[in-house]
Amino acid sequence: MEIPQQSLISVTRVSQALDLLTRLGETATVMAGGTWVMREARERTFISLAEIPDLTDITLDDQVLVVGAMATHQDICNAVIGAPDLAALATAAGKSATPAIRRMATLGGNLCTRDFHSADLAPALLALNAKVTLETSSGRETLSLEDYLNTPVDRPHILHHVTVPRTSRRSAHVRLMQRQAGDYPLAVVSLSAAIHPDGTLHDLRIAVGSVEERARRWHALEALCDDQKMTSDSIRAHAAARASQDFVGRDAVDGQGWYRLRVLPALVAQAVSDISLTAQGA
Amino acid sequence: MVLTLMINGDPVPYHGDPRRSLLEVLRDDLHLTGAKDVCGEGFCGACIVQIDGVPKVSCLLPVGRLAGAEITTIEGVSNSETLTAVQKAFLEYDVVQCGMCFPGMVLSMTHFMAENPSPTRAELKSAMTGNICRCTGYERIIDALLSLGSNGLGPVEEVRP
Ligand SMILES: Cc1cc2nc3c(=O)[nH]c(=O)nc-3n(C[C@H](O)[C@H](O)[C@H](O)COP(=O)(O)OP(=O)(O)OC[C@H]3O[C@@H](n4cnc5c(N)ncnc54)[C@H](O)[C@@H]3O)c2cc1C
Ligand code: FES
Ligand code: FES
Repeated sequence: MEIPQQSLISVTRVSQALDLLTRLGETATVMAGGTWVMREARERTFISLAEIPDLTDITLDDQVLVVGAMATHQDICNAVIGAPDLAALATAAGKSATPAIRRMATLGGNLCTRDFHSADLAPALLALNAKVTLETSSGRETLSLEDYLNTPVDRPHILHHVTVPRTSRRSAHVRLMQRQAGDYPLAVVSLSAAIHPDGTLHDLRIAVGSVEERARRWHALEALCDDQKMTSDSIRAHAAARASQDFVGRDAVDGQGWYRLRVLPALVAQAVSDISLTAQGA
Repeated sequence: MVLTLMINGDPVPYHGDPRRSLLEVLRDDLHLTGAKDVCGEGFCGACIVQIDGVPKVSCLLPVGRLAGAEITTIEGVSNSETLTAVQKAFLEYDVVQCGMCFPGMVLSMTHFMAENPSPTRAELKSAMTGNICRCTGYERIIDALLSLGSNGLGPVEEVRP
């Protein structure tokens, strides 16, 4: 394929994007919504995915949610709002950034921008046990979002879509910011679990975002609290005991690492309170 | 790259780097200075324009992606003889101070009011996230929008008082 001598190339097939990425290497970048690359990578050649059909598709049925990488935060919020198991994702997509940015920034941009440390969709999808499907020059690969975030895929790839299994559980997403809205979150907790009427949490998944460079699961806290009766106070106490052992808070202009750790227990407690309230039909 | 931008109903030829932001092209090439260049990072909303009727930040939109899109800037929402209902309410409630935020505010809130003709105060506050106003304290802007009442946006344009 001839490489056009242009600084913004619109491709219509994923294979074209991969081909260009392979040939142009570090001099090019994928452009999805553009809200990161327009700020951070203006000197590179943009390979725009906007003209690829199907990448904005979202399908939701009783079994599974599938979201194309070019779906925007707003598209995702509109699609999942009202589903109790996907409440964490609806909040992450519907409350992050600002209305104008939510109409532009995409799922793929949120999960693939490794230098962006405050992604909301990443912890929400970790708590929902999402899988990502990538296109690479050697074919299609599906892996857990957790593996994708933990182990950088250095080969050229396009994140094609994300799959979320649906279960009869509840989820919540709690974010702390300096102001009520519009900033990056200082710390994020996403949580999902099935709640027994006596307050026991089953199959608990907790993900933390914005505290370290990349969102990740809080496995140690999950192990302590899974299959236990938990109130927001009891889980807060467990989280307070573990936070500084399990995370190294990130210092940045918007907040110090110690502060991000200090607020984590309260965010976990709030998330448990939120899922308990929705379970009671509040 | 050569392309045609459709700005406020007029075709405008563009020849240049497709990665330049729409904001740069509007202000520096076309001298449409209504959209303001403030943060350049998507946070403040001073540069908001409508793309196919939907408010977006023009500082993060590369022009190369806008061929075929209808771009509406503040210069295109009314002419020197007329004001839209939102502009008129802002004038009546005397909410404009330095004016840096207002082009973006008008374009964002006009879209929001069209979709939500009878919003609550809280809904207006969340819709305004991303349109930072350093002068007014927001409450009067909200009062002005609420004054549109159930008439919503009413007639698109009204004669300037
Ligand atoms: C003012 C502002 C506030 C924000 N606040 C928040 C917030 O509170 N929470 C939040 O979660 N986000 C927030 N964001 C969004 C976030 O910062 C990123 O801008 C956004 O997630 C990037 O998405 P994009 O689609 O614009 O990506 P782009 O800028 O187009 O791309 C970013 C990177 O992702 C890679 N990429 C994109 N799509 C793919 C794909 N399908 N496959 C492989 N690689 C890909 C590109 O190579 C590129 O390096 C905010 C953004 C702004 C501007
Ligand atoms: S200048 Fe575009 S959002 Fe601030
Ligand atoms: S009137 Fe000055 S910023 Fe809003």
